[in-house]
Amino acid sequence: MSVSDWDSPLHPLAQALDVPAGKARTRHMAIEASVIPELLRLPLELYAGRQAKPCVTVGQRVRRGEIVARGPDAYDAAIHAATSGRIRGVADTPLPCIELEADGDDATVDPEPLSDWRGHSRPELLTQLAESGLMGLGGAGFPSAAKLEAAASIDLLIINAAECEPLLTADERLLTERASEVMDGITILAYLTSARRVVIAIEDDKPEAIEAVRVALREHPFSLAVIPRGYPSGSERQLVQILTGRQIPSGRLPVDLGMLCHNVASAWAMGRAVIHGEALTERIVTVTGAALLRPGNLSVRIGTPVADLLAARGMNDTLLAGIRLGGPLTGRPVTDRRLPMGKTHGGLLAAGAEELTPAGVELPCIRCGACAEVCPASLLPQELHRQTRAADLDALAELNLVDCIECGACAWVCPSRIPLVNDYRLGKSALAAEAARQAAAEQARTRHERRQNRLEQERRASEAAREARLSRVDAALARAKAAKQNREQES
Amino acid sequence: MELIIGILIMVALALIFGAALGYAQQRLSADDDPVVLRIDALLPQTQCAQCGYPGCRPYAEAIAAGDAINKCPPGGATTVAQLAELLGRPAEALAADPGPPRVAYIREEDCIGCTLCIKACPVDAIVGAARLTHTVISSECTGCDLCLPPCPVDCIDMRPVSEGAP
Repeated sequence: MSVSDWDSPLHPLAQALDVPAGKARTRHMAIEASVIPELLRLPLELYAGRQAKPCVTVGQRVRRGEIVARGPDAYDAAIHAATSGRIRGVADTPLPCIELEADGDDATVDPEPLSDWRGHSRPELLTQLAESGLMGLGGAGFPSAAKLEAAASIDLLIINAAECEPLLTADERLLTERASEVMDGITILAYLTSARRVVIAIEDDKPEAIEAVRVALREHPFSLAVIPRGYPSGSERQLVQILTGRQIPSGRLPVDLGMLCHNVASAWAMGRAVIHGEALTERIVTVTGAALLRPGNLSVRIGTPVADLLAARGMNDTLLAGIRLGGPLTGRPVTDRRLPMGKTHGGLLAAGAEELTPAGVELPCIRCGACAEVCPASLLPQELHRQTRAADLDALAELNLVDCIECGACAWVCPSRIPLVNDYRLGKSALAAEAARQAAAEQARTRHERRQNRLEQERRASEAAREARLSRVDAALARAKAAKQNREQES
Repeated sequence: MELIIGILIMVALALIFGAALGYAQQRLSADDDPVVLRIDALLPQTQCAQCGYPGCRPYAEAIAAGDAINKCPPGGATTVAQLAELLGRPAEALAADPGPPRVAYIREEDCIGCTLCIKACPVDAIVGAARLTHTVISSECTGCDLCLPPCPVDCIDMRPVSEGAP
């Protein structure tokens, strides 16, 4: 125990899942630079389906760190060229992206660091973060500047280094090798959020990283919480609960409870962006799996296609059971190997058969309830499964499908090998589409009613004008009649 | 004497409550039929008049008065099912095929600026002025097709939502 240890009691997850971590393969492998492919695909996708707009022309030569696309909002993360080269154009497959032909020089723009960053205003620092392309690297990809803008004064800043996902060791290596740089980033984060307390949370199966953090913490007023290993302790809501015992209500965010969670890789990137003026053009990725000859922790340029990355590490297709962007539980299956590595991908898995959620022929649900026992969000996975298959949107909303964190624990324990998380993703997008449809209908109704009111007013105004005209005619006729009578009486 | 006092008290109470109820009816009356509102809330608000009524609200009133619930192609089978559940009627098959959702698109080089489509649009989703090119605000367009018939030069296309206006 040292003075820097987190002193509140921990509240370990009651339903934590003990999945084989399998991290030994890459745990001790130092971070190394990855290949720069001939063609990079810089993804244009931002948070929540919005897209960045390219601001370069076809054929333009760019250097590494040059902005090639921007989002619609001021605090959206900018997209940068990840190496020097020539812009080939915009492509829609396999996802909307800018294609960049590398020239091999890897020339970099001159960095514009804010080395005396404490002398800059909060908006200036946030703009620097947005211009450096910072977004949540833990998986959600929410723009960091926008997230921090909403958290000007918080009680507790949580740096999430739990890394509970099996096989991934990117955050662990980052802390082991670059703990002091991470601390620089955390210092900036703590300054921007005026956090009263700062805690770095790590699972207890990473002794090297914990030791590195302890050493780095001698110079920083942050505390360290070593939490028990258990899936999914690295999920934001679960981590808050483990550390504070408080549950974040459905539909609310940690910031509503005076807390903010930030991924450790984001914190590191933040330090690089502010102190060194480096744009986010690469991130640490654990490239692993039984089908790879040379797994490792690589510093990968954003936009590197999956195929290039796997080929560079000695891919053996005969052993391959499936490719996942991310880890074995939360990772998304890759069907098109042209897909590029994005900012949120901390892992690339070329999995052998035994490394994935048990696959095989899907059998009917036997209602064993194993999924409900492991669901960290306390949902009813089998009921959700039934209703997603029935496409009953009302029932899904009532069962709080939106609170599913897609951790994959239910699918992991399912004896019928039902791909439950896929169902939930489909169900969520159906719910979102339905909500959008209703919002559009509401908008159309309002516009229609306003139009009806306007037409009604115009009709009334023209009627009133007509009546006024008629009454003037009547008055004129009456005057003429009176004049005539007068003349008759006189004569 | 006591009998008269009793009667007077009851009469006074009756008058007071009567006045209060009368006032409440004047001031707090629901000016809209709640059934119509609930039906209207389920309709897609395209105001396309494909049901034969001049908008969603009139159709909602007609349904409340007993008309069939399957006359709304844009709402599709979903709307029919929701209406059936709300009204306790059997879900009938849709009267016409809805097709994919679409938005109007004005080919600006052909538009002569006659403002006829602007007058036809039920949701004010077309902007323009006399002898100036018109254009559709595609995010507001409900795809009702009502702007097509008035156009004298046939410069309006209906395009699938995904492609939309460039």
